Amino acid sequence: MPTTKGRHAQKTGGQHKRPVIRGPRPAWVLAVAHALALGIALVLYALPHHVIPSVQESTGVVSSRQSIQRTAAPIVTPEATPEPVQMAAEPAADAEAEATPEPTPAPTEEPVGSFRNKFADKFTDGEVIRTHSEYRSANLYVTFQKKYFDELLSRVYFVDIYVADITCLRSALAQDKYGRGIKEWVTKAAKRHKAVATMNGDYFGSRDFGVVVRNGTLYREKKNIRDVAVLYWDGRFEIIPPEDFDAMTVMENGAYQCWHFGPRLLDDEGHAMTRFNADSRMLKTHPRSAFGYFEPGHYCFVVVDGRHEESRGVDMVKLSALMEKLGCTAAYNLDGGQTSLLARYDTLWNRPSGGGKSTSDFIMVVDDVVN
Amino acid sequence: MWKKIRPMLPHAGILLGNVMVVLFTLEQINPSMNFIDNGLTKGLLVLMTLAAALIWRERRRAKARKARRRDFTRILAAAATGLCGLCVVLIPLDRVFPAWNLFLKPPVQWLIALGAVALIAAGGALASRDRRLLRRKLRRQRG
Repeated sequence: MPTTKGRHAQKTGGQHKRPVIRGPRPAWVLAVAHALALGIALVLYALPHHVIPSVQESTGVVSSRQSIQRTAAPIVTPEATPEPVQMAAEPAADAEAEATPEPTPAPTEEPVGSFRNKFADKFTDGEVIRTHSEYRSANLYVTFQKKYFDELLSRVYFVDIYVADITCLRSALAQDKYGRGIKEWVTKAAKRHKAVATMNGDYFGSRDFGVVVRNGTLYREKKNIRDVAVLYWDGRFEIIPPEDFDAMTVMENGAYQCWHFGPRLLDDEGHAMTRFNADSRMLKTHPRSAFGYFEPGHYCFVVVDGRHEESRGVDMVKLSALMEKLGCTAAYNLDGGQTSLLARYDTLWNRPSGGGKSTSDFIMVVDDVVN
Repeated sequence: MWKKIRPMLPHAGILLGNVMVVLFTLEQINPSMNFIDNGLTKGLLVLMTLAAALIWRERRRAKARKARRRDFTRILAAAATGLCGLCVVLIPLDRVFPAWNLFLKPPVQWLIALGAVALIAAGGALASRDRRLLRRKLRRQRG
């Protein structure tokens, strides 16, 4: 039988040769080829999805202190904040961390977003006291506490924050850019902004949906099914269910920051919850980051290490109970897992799972007032 | 053109279906990364629908030439086309009513996953059939 190259007949000397049919390729070759093709396809998908950074523009909508209407009804907060658990100070430490908070005196009239008179006893006259367990200046009073909770089998980091001005609590974008796939390590961002304390945000850069308001600028307004946390220019903090949330309305009302991860952790009375507006996978035991609110001008960062032998992490029910125990009147869950990061000054303070990972945004406390 | 596409069709269907199954699995593990509700995945869904429709068309034409016989490949391809096509119809709806967040709803995500599995099965059945036919031709040639 004359041989030919390829599957088609070759014309030789005026004669057509019968095409030779090759057998099918072995199954294992096809399986390997499919696996390789799948790998390549997934890499090609991942590149534009979350690997290649793409800088995007904001919507151009901006709010400011002037957005706050003096006549707007204030959100009701409990008259006296309940006595919180006093977490032990760090072993090697310096000054004993103070227990939060005593019932605050009625505030005098101050500019919107200013709490200098309200918490005058917390701040100094200009002197800066900086230790491992506290930072005190004319603008800030921040305490750092770390404690192992036996009932949680986890290590909890608690940063108690009093600000003289709302702009001392601000957001930072990774590399100071907004977009998809733009990430930065927490200590790098903390160093650049000279932050006193820095915690991860809601990692908006990993997805297309979710409202993003940072430092008064609306970057994205596509909401989804999650609760939205709003911090206003006058220091109020509220968590809005997705069906009631409208980005333009909150911007008109003076939204300073919006985070879109959730869920809310405490009910309207400040009590712990057992049911949450979140996917069941998110409710399981993980490392956690949460933002806590006591009253305008007084906030906290709470981070729980997890996925370690010595610190398991907490589920949402336990996190909610913890925030109630700490005395918060409202609390909001932020991105956890490997992204749970907390920096004290410019040093990583917690032990993130898997060494941690870079994220797209941070909440930080800075000793600087922006007018 | 069709002669060039036809041999690759079942493999393309298997590949597209596998990619979607992986994305669905990742979405279940880490929903915050948004693997389903984004433009890339919706584009993939359109391609899957196209591949499923082409497989169905190919089997329908082949079946018309032969005696009546149950053709599982055609049934699977029809199921894949229906499921993926239904999800493709939701894409413009999602654009018009973004607050509905259609692609974040578990029933829609499961529809997409089932469509992907049906497409993998249809592609596998067609590829297997192609291999059988090729072996038969080879036996005849040698015999």
